Amino acid sequence: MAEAIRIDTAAIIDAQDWSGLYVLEKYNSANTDIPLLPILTKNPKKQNEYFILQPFSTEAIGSIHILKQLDHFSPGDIVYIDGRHGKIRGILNAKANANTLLVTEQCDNFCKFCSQPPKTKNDVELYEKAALSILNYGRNDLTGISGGEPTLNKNAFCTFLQTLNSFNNTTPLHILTNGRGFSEKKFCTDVTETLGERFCLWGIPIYGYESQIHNYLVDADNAFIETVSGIRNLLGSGQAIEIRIVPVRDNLKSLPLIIDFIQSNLNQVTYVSIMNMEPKGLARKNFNSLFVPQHDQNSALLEAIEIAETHSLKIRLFNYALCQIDAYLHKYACKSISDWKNYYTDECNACTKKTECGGMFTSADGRFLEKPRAFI
Amino acid sequence: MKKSFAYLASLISASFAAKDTIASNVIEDRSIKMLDDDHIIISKLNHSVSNLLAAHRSHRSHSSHSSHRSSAGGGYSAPRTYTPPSTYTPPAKKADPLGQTARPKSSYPSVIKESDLVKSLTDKDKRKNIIMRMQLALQFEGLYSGAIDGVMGERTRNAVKAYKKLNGVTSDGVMDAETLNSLGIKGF
Repeated sequence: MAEAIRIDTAAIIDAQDWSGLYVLEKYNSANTDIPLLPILTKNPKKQNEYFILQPFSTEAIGSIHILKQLDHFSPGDIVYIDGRHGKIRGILNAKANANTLLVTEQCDNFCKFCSQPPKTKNDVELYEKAALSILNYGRNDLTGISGGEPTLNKNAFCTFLQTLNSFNNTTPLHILTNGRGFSEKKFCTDVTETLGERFCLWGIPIYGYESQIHNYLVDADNAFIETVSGIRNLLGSGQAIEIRIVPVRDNLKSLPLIIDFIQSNLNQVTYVSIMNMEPKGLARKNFNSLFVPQHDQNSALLEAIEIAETHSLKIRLFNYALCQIDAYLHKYACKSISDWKNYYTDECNACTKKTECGGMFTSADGRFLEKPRAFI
Repeated sequence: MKKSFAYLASLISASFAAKDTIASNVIEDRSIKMLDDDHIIISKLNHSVSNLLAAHRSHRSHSSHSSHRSSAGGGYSAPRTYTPPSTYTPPAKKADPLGQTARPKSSYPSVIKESDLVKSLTDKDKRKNIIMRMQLALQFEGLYSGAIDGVMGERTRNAVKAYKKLNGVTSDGVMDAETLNSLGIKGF
């Protein structure tokens, strides 16, 4: 795999028993009435040694050795020590272009192009870790909540939001969900009432303009109708929605129809994001049957954007490289790939549009890489 | 009343091209009956955050919406298992990935020991924080529904009792090192 533009892990030793979340160097928040995490702080005398301090104490209770400097982290970041694999990883980082917390790996959809295929093991403590991370971070950056399906465990999801509220936290959230849970009116009301005035954007995928294609791609019966009802309920409750569409071979032709479906049935959505597939997880496995080269998506994208523009529906393209798509589409393309899995090829260095371009996924290498054509 | 709002909403969202095609496709969907008034929340016009009028289409304060959003790596949790300290043996040291010479193992205690815990619990702030961490963990286990206030009250004690029972050890309500270790709360 290619090297990402921001490395967010480092190898560590002596950490077998120290698995867990830590705050780096200092607390950002003045609030000591929250459950505080232990601190990881540099040993001033030894370059790569870090001490572990418990809250309200200056006495080290342990230490770990980091094999590479943590240049990409900053004081106040939340990090996770994975003792079993001898790694330290950033969880919430001030320097990252986007922070996203994983709250579960369970899901009721089984998308054919899922980059992180669901697992069945009970992982409810991930909600607890996510809540602890947000509370200890002290910055109010927009934070992503992802899965799995974050709302599959309805109790845990509500508890998560209530916990943030109970410590007067106001972190804005960008929650990625399939929205199926919100077809249940009561759950939708419960969640939106708990959210209150907190800013929240819901990223919900629609892969077809009718149930057949959508249910086929997510491999779940009733998924389409539940998702659409869920979106209607959230919109009715005043929530901001982002619709996410992944064009693959099965739904590329109907892309304009999906946009038409959205503008006619769900036209209060905040915006629509068309996201090029990431060749990872199941997408890598099913690559041959799903993959459409970016330049072959041009006509469908142009038509979709024309419909969206006609109806003043905000639309954006994610994960597209500028050299692969029509020049007219450039103004819709976003630098959307998270920096820890983003890279540019050697050829990109000569390109005059490199700074505007989103580049490639680190997973897009070898036969998965669409050959860049630098603008000279 | 609700119906009329639904009608109003449909007027506002009236589409032009291809609406009939879409509609007929959707109607073929037998499950469409879910999209009636009983199942769908209709936005009230005087709702404090009504989307019909407020149209959330420009949130300038949140400029960084353009993220693909994926969390780094997979699940980052170590499985919660009970490891009684008396029989605890540190796992075999992993091979050093970068080929450096072996370093002597840190001489610091690696998991909470009962004696450290007892010492920490005498400090007011530390004690409160440890209890808060434990309450939070028990809450997501579905065993505790009280406030996360760092006070070892009856509900907290009952939750500890239930947790211990679930994990097949004694069912007293005492917060001890084993319980904290198994809940993933380390370093006190």
